[in-house]
Amino acid sequence: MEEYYLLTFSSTHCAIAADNILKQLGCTIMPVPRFISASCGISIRIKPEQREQAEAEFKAKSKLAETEYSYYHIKSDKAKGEIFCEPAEMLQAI
Amino acid sequence: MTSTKKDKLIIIIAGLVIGVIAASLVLFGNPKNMGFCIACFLRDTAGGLGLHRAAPVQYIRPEIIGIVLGAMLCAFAKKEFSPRGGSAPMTRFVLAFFAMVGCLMFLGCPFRMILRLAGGDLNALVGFVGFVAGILVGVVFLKNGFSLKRTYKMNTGEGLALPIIEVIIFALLLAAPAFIFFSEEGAGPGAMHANVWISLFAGLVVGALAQRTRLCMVGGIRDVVLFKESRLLLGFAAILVAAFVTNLVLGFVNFGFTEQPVAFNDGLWNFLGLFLVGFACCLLGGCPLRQLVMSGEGNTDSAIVVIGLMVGAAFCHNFGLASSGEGPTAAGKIAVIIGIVVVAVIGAINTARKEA
Repeated sequence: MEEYYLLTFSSTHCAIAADNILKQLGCTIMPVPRFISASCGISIRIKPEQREQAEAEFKAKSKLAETEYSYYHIKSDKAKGEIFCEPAEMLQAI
Repeated sequence: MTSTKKDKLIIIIAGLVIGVIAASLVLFGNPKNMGFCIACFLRDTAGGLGLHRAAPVQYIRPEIIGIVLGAMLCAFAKKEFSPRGGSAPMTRFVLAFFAMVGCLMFLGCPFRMILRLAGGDLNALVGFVGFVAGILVGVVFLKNGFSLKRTYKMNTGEGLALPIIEVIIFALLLAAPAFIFFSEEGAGPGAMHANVWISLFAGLVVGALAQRTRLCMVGGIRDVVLFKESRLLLGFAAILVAAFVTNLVLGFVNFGFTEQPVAFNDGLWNFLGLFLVGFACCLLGGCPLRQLVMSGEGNTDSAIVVIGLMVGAAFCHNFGLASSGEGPTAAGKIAVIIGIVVVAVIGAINTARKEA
């Protein structure tokens, strides 16, 4: 069972801007999975254990408007071939 | 992290289907090595509508209409139709205008570049090098923060405007009233076309497949360079292979630089033409095929690009900027150089400096 959070973007420059912020935390780039609706094609994968830190960095440093990105929570069970994907909310800042 | 094997398989299959369709359209009557050419076909459509009066290239191409509508139908089916726009429309118009100048210098869009390669036209190889170079320059701007700013949600009517316009244009093609132009038999590429319904069907299939897989020639190279992600490029490799094999079977392959259909043998200008296309389309976020598909998804920024491409084509043929089999025109060469400068300026003024 694989679980992760995914940021998708409305255009490439948004993806690049976010990647510059998040890659230092070890978040990786991946193509947008097919079951998510059309976007620029590049997404950023955030492991559950990185979630709090990645979201904090993203909210603090990226200047992206809410319409420019989407956020998902994904669980995929490769053995059963099942994927569970739901829109996710970023954790509220304290 | 790379695409799943399944994602790669899907785009390869889509590419193979598209390649066979593209090569087959030549059998059904489209010009050689031009089963699809977004630039040439938008130019022909501009001619059909009287936006230019170059008699050899006037015909409303159903392939274009099919691609937009096929993408739209596929988007609706997957609930991906998403009307949005408002991201620097005038800038996009200008970029699109000059992208078309570059395409008409090379005599093809990136899709036709692949099909020309599949027909043995080695001039397309020179063009390809220029295309990659243009994208690499565009990537430098992207990496430095080039952005045309955000898009905004639009209402459904706004998103449907271009698809509806395409349907009306198709009706004009079928009705053929006196004010719509048709190149006469033997006049040029505009007179060479497959049956209307075959062309439309081919466009619908390609549009749907391109929407499904996010196929984009510029994106393919950009994603390899920026993210080492090869999925899109594999799709185009599949198109190339399938078109080449189909061409071999149909006897359409002619290896070489000379005597190539709707092409010329001037390396520098084939290079520079597609350099301009790669550069402009990288800043626009997609090749002309991708722009057509996105306009079908409701993206009005892409619809503006389609308009800009058509106006650019009309301008090129009204002012002698387009090349022909004889080669580039002097005015066309100047236009390409101006285009490269303009695109570079647009790149510079829209690039936020990185904080030190």
